[in-house]
Amino acid sequence: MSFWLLIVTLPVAVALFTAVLTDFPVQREAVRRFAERHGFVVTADNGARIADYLATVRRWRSAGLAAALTAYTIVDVRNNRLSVSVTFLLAGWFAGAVIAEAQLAALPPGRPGAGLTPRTAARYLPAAQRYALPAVILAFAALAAAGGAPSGRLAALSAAVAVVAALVALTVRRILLRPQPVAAAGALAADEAIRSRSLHAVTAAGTTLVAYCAADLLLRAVAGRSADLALLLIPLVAIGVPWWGWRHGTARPRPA
Amino acid sequence: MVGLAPRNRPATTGMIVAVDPDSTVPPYDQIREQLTTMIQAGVLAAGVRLPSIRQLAADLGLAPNTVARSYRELESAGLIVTRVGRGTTVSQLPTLPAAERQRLLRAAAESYLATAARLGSTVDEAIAALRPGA
Repeated sequence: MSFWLLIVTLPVAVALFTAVLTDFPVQREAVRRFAERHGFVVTADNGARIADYLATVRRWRSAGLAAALTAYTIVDVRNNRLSVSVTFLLAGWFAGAVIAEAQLAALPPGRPGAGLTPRTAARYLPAAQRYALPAVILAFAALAAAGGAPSGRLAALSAAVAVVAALVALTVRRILLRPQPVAAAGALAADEAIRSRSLHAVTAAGTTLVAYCAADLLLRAVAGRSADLALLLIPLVAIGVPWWGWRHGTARPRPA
Repeated sequence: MVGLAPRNRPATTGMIVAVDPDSTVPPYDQIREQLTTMIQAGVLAAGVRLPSIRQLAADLGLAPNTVARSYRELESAGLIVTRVGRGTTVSQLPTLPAAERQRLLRAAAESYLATAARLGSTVDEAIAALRPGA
């Protein structure tokens, strides 16, 4: 198969495959599990909204993942090799998660009013997760200043870190400012849970991506001296941050 | 399930401001009036953090400038205070001198008794209605 034929057929095939895989209705069990993890009961007021949320994020995150896999495969084939990049896949998933947040509908208008509880990141995210991204950005900056990476690679990684940080900041703001008119208690509980889940997912993925970039610099900085340490740290970061995000993704919003 | 410790801060849970789009009173004045009442009645205690202008505007479906005007007027009246990085919080209301407090209370009582008389209630009924749970 020629390279150009691959460029045309692979994206179409993957897009169709992803659409088919993600276009089935959300199972009632998934809705129940989501409600259980966030500590509220599924009612007539919130069931459809949770199902819509789960379907939207599943569709876009899967699409992002598939697009990243396709793009990476095409580049690999061009270079006569075949491999998988976890960083690239996570970047695709993250891009899909950001798009999903833009696609999500706000809570339908109920009574014409608004609650007086401030929606801040501190309400939904524990301090460690709020400060994890600035901390890894600082670590990245320190490693970049220490040198060791080729200038081209450093520029690419720095640009990636800047884009991820900006996307996380914009998406967090978007999630917090998504309108929350006065609604039934069940609908409000689901809305809060959706915000909490989205904030945990986006910040954890963004932090992990920047950590990968920092780990790349770290690996180069210590190469030849203590590569074992770097090889130990990278899986710790790669597994630790998403695990931590998932573990705390069930947290209920704090009372105002 | 992972629970998070509640912050040691006065609550705003369940409190609502509503805007009537058909009212002749401008939306910024409706918001200002409701927040003033809540603050003066002590429902919104000193130190309570209010939502940001953008959040309240988004939730009410209004332009941010409308909510900003309400907040500006509340700030001019000394009811709220906005600090960079700390958001908008309810101010500590100044304690009135005893004589002034008595005067305002008497005026409010006279107005209440006039309403009770208009409704045909006796003084005892009016006093009983003041008790919590009446």
